[in-house]
Amino acid sequence: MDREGVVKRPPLPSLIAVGLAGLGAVLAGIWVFAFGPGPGLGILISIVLALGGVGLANWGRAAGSSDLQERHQKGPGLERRRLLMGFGAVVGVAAAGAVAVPAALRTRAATERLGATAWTPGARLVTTEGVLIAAESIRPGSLLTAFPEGRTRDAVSSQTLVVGMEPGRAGENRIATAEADIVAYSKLCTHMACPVGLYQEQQGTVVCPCHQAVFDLRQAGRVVRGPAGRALPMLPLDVDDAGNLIALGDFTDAVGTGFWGRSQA
Amino acid sequence: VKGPAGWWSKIERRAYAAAKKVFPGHWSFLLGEIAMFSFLVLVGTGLYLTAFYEADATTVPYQGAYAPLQGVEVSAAFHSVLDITFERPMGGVIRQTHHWAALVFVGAIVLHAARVFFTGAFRRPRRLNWTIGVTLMGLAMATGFFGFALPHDLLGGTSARIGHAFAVSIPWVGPGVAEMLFGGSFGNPNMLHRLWQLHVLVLPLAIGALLLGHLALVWLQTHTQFRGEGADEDLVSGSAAVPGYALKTAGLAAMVAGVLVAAGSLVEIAPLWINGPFDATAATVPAQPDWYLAWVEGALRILPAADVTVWGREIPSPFFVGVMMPVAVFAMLYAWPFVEGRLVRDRRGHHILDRPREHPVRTALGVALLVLLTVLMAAASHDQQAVALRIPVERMTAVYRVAAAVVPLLAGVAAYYTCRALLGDERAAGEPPSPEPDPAVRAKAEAG
Repeated sequence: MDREGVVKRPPLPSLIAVGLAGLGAVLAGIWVFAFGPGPGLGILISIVLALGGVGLANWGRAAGSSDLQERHQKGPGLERRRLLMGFGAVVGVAAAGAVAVPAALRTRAATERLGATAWTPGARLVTTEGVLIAAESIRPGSLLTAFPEGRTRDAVSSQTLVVGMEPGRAGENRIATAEADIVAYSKLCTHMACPVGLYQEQQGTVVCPCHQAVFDLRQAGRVVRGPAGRALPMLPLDVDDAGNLIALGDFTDAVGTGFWGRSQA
Repeated sequence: VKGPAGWWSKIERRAYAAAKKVFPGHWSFLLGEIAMFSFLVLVGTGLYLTAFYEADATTVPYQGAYAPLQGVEVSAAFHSVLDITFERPMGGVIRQTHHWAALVFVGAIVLHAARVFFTGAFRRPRRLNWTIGVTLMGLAMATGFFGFALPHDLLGGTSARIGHAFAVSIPWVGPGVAEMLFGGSFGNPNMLHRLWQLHVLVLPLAIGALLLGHLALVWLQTHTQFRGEGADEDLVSGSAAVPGYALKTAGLAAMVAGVLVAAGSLVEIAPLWINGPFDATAATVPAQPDWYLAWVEGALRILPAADVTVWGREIPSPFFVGVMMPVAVFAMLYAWPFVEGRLVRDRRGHHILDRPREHPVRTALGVALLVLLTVLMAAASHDQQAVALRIPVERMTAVYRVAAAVVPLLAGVAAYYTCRALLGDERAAGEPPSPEPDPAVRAKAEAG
């Protein structure tokens, strides 16, 4: 091999930079040994790396020859039909797998699980803390998150918004007490299944914080604005003998984002 | 010579030939290297993180070094990430370096792809390597998405929610895709484990394998180059692999690692202790994904509801925005080299790069796409902008709808005419003579 011009002495700035980086690395070692790793160590390491890097790169610039070399392949070179087809085949197999695996996993049970909630006829509503909700305790303007009794932890899709309104303001599926109209909705936005919030009492609307879909709770959860495509599903309510809120059954529609088998789920 | 001595001399010859391989130098060729070194930093820091991470959503009361969350119910996953951050040696720096490296990784890939696009480096014989590169870009974004959810904080959980809704929305196979990627319905006990597996095993292995292929093709096909310094379709001009190019590359690797560690040490990122633990009944405001997925988030906000019912089956609008739009963008990227080759009837191989102005139509299309994605990215925080400007958020939505339709078009037209004007100026000034290689050097190169 032609050794001429290959072994060149590094330029002085490079030597200094790499030398300082080496010194820093030794310092970092002593630091760890003496004090253990601390927040300053990261800064020291980054300085060592950056200094060493600048030194090496500058050395490389100085040592870089100005060479010409023939490209060994001309024209289309390595791009042979075979290679393209080969990669195409790999992509094709991957794509087929990306359809075949989910297709195999797309069982009726999986589809049903997507639409399932833990609400059953007669299930009592509880707060996040698991406390039963007395119908008389709901005042106009109150808003709370409810779950089916015993399912506060695992029932992500069962989360429900219980809303109190001035008497006569709520539409269908309402419970009327002396103080308020009570309605309950799925808390999952029908756009991307984010939990809705931000109750605007004057307009009777809730807003989804993720993509700003707005639903009218006085009109059966109708979409007022934003990217959601369908109304918030309602939870038909009743009051048991003890005066606590109970569900008459599941939501009026599948909760959250729509999906292919939703109407069947 | 046969036997080990023969093998050794063969290896030696190959190594010397490799050391003499000439690589052209241009700052824009470093973007791909920055991406590669970010990936190495990601793997290194990721090995540390995954040693201590627990992919477990079971709730436990927090008992750790971070006082404000003492006793709060958090998931075991969230707990483990807080432990890494506050109690493992250098854990906080390593975790933040990992997140910064992910942002730089995708950023460098996008800039690298833009460089390759605008200079026509994707043309024959490099169409295959372009498709590998586009695949790598998609895998990088996907890996980042799944990693974002792992700390199981409120923001990461919200992000996983959006991804789950996309998976579910796919016609026919949607529920199966959700089973495959997320282990079933959102919040099921296997979900974090599934995301962890994708993030630390499946996707990084795919990236590593394709990256090796990408580099092998660059090596075998030689690097493209701008005209000048004697380079032409048959000759590469530049610096030999050893020592010049190797030293420069090693230096760049150390600099990239140094900058990422500095960012990880000094600039707070993904503060899960501020976001708080995941709560299925809450979402954060404001909530944005990492920058490279913000274009999808922006589109989700400004595109109107378009739920469709086919044969009694539903296709919800997230499918069009979250699945079809990215698929369309990536399909355009994959197809472009083949489409352009057909359109301009070019079947030759190219090793010399175009300057962007030399192909006004290609440049205009590329600019229009980049500007469209940028407008969508800006729309990803339109609720915050509406608050800052004190206008209703729906007016902001309308502004972005118009902007997404008009601004890319204007940018494309402006790019087209800028290219034409630059070319016109050059012609008026007379073409700059392209330097011819020194005959002696050329003879030496041809002699091998």
